[in-house]
Amino acid sequence: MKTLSEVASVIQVGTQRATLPNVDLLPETPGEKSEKRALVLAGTLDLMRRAGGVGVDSVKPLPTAPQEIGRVAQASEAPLSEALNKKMIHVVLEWAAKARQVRAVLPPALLTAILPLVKKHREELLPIIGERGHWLGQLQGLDLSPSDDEEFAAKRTEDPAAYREWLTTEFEAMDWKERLKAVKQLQIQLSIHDEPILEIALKDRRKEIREAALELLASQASFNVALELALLAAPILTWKKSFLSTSLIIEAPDRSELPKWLPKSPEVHGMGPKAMALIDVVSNVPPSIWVTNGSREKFFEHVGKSDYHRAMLEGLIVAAVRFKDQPWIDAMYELLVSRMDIYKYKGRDLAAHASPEVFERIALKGLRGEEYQSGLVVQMIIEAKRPLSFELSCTLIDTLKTNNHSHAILTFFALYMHVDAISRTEVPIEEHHAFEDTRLEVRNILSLRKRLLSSLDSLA
Amino acid sequence: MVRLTPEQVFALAPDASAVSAGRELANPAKWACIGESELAAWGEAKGSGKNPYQTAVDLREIAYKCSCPSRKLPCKHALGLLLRHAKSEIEPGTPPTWVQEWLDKRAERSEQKAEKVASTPAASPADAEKRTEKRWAKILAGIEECESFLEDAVSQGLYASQSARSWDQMAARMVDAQAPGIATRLKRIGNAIGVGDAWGPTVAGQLGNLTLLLEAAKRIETLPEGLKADVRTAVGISFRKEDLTGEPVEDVWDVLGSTIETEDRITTCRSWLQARSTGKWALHLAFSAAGQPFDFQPLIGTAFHAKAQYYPSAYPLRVNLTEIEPQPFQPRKGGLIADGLEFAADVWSQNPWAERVPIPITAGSFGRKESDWFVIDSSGRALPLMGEDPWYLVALFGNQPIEIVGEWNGSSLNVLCGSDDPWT
Repeated sequence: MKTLSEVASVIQVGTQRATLPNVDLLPETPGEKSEKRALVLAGTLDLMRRAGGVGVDSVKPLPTAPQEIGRVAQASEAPLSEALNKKMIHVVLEWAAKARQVRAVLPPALLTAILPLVKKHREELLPIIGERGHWLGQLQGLDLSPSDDEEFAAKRTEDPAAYREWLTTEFEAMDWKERLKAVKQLQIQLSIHDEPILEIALKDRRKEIREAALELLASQASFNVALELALLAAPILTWKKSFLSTSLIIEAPDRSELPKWLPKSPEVHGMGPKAMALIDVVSNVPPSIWVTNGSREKFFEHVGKSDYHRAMLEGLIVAAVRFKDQPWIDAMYELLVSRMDIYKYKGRDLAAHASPEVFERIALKGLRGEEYQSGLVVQMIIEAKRPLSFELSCTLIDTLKTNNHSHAILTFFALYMHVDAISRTEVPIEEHHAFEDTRLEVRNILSLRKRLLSSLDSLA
Repeated sequence: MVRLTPEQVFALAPDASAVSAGRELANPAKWACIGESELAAWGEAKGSGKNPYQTAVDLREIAYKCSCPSRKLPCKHALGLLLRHAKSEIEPGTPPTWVQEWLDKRAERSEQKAEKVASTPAASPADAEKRTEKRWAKILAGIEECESFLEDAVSQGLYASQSARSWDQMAARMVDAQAPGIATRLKRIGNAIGVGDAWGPTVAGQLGNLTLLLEAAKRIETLPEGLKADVRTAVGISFRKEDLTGEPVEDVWDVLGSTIETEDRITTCRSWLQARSTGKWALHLAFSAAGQPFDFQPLIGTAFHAKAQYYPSAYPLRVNLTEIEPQPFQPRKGGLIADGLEFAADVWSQNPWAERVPIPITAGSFGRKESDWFVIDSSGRALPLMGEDPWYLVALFGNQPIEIVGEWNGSSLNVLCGSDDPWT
């Protein structure tokens, strides 16, 4: 209502400075103060505005949502809402992984809570938001189109040769982040035909791209780079046999002898230039080349006697994870935990990558006090952030519940424990009242996870 | 007996952790000696202590009793019990002694309260009139001061008097003058000055409305009875429910909308009810201070048979409910926005100080114009929305036409409820 706005303008600046508009609505009373008249006018006009409201007719409704193709996991709504309210994102992602497996989609009531998380957990959440989620995201102006990674991976999977050709043509024109993502996707169906473009990438001005290319070039023995690395590695170790014993001599290379394309490893405190050069080589060749016959245990024993043992182990840890060599990952994890050296080295990654059997065996032995240091084992379980078996979950509860200093950590482990371990939390422990809050919290988390996962069972 | 849905039970929880704990306690393994009757549900919940906790819920007016030490209301045990009741998992039975005693005590207290009210000797009419006159004289003195304050503000211009403090001080003065309703309006105006792009017309409207109230209060003797009551209510003189004299309206009331707001440490639950046989609207207000539970909190999607006594007004809406008996929910369909606005115009033309009016809209959807949100009916008419973006409802129903109930304040609609269940 225009007149109310005009009266409002006068009220805002004051009747000392502005004059009221001439409004026929109310007759002027002789002697009436202009302030009073302004206020009464405002009240009357406001009442007319309210009582005479007719709404507007120029607003178009938003489009309606498309038909949902996926099966909506309606039974998950209540527990998922609880997890979101408690900000238990890990639990939500665990549900999302299972929902993806059974091709279920999120109940629409939770979309407004989930969409803000998609940016950070795109890979896990995008597949489960369904048609409704994509529609809503588009209305909210969110970018839910496939990421470069997803687009490149799809292109590469569809036709590796065409992808290679496209990458070779476009490589120079791409910005460095695109180049990096595109090069990484060459890992899909990697073949000898990819060697030329990878060698171009190996000379890129960005270190990240050179490292990505080297990782792929070093991964296939038939590539020139892998052969060259093997030649560089060959003189490093010499086995010296005498009448009574065998010893291992480690000869570190000079950095100047190494090719320029071989990236320098991050500095390790206390390592000299030769030791660092040794890490550069060892971390870029498959660990299996070092032990062709004989056992890894013997090899570690001999390495341990060398002045370069630390550099050698640092390089081997990186190489084992980089080349996904499971036996080496397991062997090194066990070695470092048994020597309580895992922190001295960059060995924490090993806990996350160790095979379930080895990880569980070491954890169980440590917790039961049979072998390994239990505190170290607990720390490794924390750092691994991986699903724990029923047996390990129960052992963790049994071990920590009576420990007044450590029982609270069980609330963290509850995110990773086997959900059936809830049976171990049923009864309060009379003599450990301090554990009661932790017990209830662990129970709540396990119960929530169990309800969430089982809510998808009917769709499986 | 009211049978709440699990969602309605969760809505009663004091916080999210109580919901979680209540859900945990909905496990049958946690309960012993559990049962329910028309009046109550009860059970013994296993806890960490030696003895189980005795928990009972009065199903007539949703009240709780639990022997646990929790200060939350309802506690997790009561929520767990209500959840089991909501899922129809409890077998009927006869209340044990401790439940029956509690129910008897509640009934006794309620009777005593009614008796006390009935037996309290009414103040002699002369005394009451004297007191009212004294208070009204105080209010009129306050009104005079308030008028001068408003005129000064308008004379200097609101840009010059943007300090909320001066408005708060005037509000405090009005509390002293025993006119808390005027005080609340002054505080709202003080807080609205300079806030947002379009505060000018909003504040001018509020100032004008307050001025009309002050003017009406000065001439109260000349007003008709209903409007007189509206002025007294708007000034802040509350009407005791014991003094209600109107004929109660007996009907089944469907709860179509509810909202909880806190102002000046008082939490108010506003619930809009509709009489099933006549379609007449009623507003139920419940108050609570310091986190105490409401005496009675109608939940959206429930219904009950009750006697509703309307408070006096030129357009009566507020009611006091008695003899509440739960019934299945079965509301009638809403209408077009134009129908709702016509109803609003009717209310405001008779009671200019009514703050909000319920508007039920059938086949409503949502739309946006620049950054403003609107609800649009099937005729294409739209009303602007207040408060948060309606993304939740848009996501939930995919912007398909739904039944919407909102509160209209003349400028924007506060959506209280949306449902795709075609109301019949």
